[in-house]
Amino acid sequence: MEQTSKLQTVALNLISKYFGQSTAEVYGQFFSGEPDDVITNSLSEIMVDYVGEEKAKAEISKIMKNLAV
Amino acid sequence: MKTRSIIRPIIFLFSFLIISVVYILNPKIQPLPIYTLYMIFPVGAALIGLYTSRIYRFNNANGRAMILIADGLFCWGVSESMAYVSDNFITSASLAPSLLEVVSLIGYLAVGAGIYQGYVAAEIKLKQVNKSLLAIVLLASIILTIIVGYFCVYLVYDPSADIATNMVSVGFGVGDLTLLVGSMLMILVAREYKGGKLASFWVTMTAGFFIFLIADITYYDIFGEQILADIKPYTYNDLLWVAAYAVIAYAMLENYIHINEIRNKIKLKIQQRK
Repeated sequence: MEQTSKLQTVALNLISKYFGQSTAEVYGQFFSGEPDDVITNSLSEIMVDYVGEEKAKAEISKIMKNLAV
Repeated sequence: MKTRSIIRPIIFLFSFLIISVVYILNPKIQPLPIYTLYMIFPVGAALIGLYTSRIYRFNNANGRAMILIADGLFCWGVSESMAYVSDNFITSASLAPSLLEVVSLIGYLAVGAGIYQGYVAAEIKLKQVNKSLLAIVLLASIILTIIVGYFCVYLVYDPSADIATNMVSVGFGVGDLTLLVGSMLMILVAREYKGGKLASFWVTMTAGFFIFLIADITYYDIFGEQILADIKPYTYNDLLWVAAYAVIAYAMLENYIHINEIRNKIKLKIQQRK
């Protein structure tokens, strides 16, 4: 549960960076109670569409690394 | 959704063509109705900029890029609107032109800072950039900087004029140089987001700023006298600004709509879950 909330926080920060705070707030509601794979899949989907596959991979792996630390 | 995304550029293109035809067919340049038509895209870009800047926050480079560019567009829209009011409704020329120019220059400053933040946000690793692309961008930047520097800064500087006048006139040259170098940076930024909507945004913005740059140089530094003397086809230079504003407004609008669609899609998912 602790890990999920951390994942949510970093995912929402990334969403806020590219799609603005109000989009991040809506995603916050959507992520609430969702398992990690749903969060990472949703994040990956919108990021690939917006910043391209390479950049999305780089951004997501960066937050995953930070999460693992 | 797809049909609408095809319709939007067609509407922009069609609107630009209508304005161009009206402009070209009109015997006298810039009577009120024509000037009003000219204002559609600058004001449109300013309004879309205003909406866009409300989406983002200043606490990260991408947000700062979007807010600063949007605010710069807003300044340009305000400056164009002030010129419109001043030219058409204030006959005593009481609205000091320098005020319009200062607002416009703040716009250049904001857009330049926004492009720089866009570059920072992209976290470009120059080592990973294709060497040929980097060489082309660098070479083009140097050549164009020399050309723009000569026409827009060196030729414009008047030793006999006062400091304020020179600051404003040279300021536009520096503003154009900012757009130029910025456009080159934006090519690298767009490459970083290859395949994504953000790449299309930066490519379209680059095209818009480049047209803006050409319009500025031809108006202020090459055909200024012919344009002021109302000689055709030089007077059609205005259409370059219309095109630039249209392209920039289109890029901002597409980005805004994309983010709105993402938000609505996820709201629908939340409702379905309930």
